[in-house]
Amino acid sequence: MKPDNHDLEEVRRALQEVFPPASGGPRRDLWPAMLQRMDEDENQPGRAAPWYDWVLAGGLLGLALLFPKLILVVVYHL
Amino acid sequence: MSLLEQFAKGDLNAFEELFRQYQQPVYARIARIVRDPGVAEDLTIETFWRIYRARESFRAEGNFGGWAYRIATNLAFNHLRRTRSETELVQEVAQPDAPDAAVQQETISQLRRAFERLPRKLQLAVTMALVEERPYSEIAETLALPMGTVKSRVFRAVRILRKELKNLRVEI
Repeated sequence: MKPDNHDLEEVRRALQEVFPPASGGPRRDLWPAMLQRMDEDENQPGRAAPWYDWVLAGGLLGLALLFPKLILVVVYHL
Repeated sequence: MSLLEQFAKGDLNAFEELFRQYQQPVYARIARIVRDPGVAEDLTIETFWRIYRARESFRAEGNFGGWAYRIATNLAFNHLRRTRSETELVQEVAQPDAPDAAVQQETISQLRRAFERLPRKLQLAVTMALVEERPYSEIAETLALPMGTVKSRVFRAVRILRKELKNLRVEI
């Protein structure tokens, strides 16, 4: 059902107060920051897992090899 | 080759041209929602960064402005949802000098909360229609939706907001 114009106008007025127009534009040229952002992403050492994730995974694998029954305990609790 | 085709192929100069063409309106839309120039600048960069990363999926005949607008608005509302707390709202509305300011500001804060609970697609439609006062035809083109769908979303949002406000016993 379409709301009447009165409702529409009231909500419009109220929303205009919630979100008044922002004055002015960006305070600086954003293009250099854009380039820097692109550069940072390209120079990131990939999205490879950090070293501590590998240590953790290795530790878990070692535990599983040493105590295979642990796997059953973990599966039981899932 | 058009500018958008060049951009879609990863041409940095084409991207810069689009960036310079659209950064102001994108910034203005974000700033209107987040009310913080620094945050608006960061989110403007984030918007264009996402655009650049997704350039290969962009169709050259598509609406670049609409695409940028949707990303920017979603980022702005995500930011609001992450950062806004009840405390911030109370601080924001405190205006002890004006006689009816407390009531008025309470109304605004309640409406804002009701607005933030709206589904994202309704937020987007109602922001464009009632906050920015864009014609339905333009909204439909920007969002790539039939005009009837846009109107329906706006009307649904208005009904929800009116109902929520009545439930809160707030007369707007």
